[in-house]
Amino acid sequence: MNEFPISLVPDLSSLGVLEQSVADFISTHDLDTEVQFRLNLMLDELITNSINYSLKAVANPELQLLLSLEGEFLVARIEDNGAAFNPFEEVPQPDTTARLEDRQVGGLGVFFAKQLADDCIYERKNERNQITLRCNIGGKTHVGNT
Amino acid sequence: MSETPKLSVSTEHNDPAVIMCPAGRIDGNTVSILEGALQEQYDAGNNILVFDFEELNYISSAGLRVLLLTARRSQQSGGKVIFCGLAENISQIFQISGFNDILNVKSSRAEALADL
Repeated sequence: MNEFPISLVPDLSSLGVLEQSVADFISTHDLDTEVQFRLNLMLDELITNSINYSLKAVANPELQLLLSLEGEFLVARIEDNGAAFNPFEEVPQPDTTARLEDRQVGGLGVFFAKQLADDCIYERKNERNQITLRCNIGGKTHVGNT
Repeated sequence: MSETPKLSVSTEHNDPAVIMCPAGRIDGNTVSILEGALQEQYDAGNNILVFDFEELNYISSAGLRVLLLTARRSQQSGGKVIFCGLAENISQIFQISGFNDILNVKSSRAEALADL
């Protein structure tokens, strides 16, 4: 009962569906709005990456999201059937100290996930990309609804 | 699949600046609405912009990219861009991105206008 599997249409209109799904999950589990913002941002960025890179040339793209609570951890898993792509290694880290004139505009999204999640795990399983984010939300939840 | 856009951008003129007020969410799906509104200002020759984020409740890197390019473009053309009214979550994202160090961020619209 504390798992939320969500199938997403693999185009950017799914970001609106994502927002609603995250809001439902947060309210079902009585979680903090700060967790909601953080979860939404990390998933938005990684799903946008999946759509724009991994799934770009796939004939029958599939994109799935699974949200669950495991003790004090919120666990989000994104899975797609696209080309192997490990965003945590293949997307260069942005230089957040560069001056305005020199600042590169890419790479911030994956950087956010690395900053905001406690663990960012990439696995390639059965020809699918599987990204798992784990966030410790201890203290940001009321009584768990397990 | 069509749905109501989750972003609208209204503008107010406050010489010499144009105040841009995005309401809703800026993400990869809605950012083109912001880009369109900015293009209108550039076409009209306005490069002094104040972004009032009072009604903005979400921004992703797709939106930050456009803000960065806007600030750079204005700076290069002798204009100015100031941001104000950031909610706490958005302020934190500016912080993580290092944007507070390279962009002009004020806490209120009054402070932003005083800095023009």
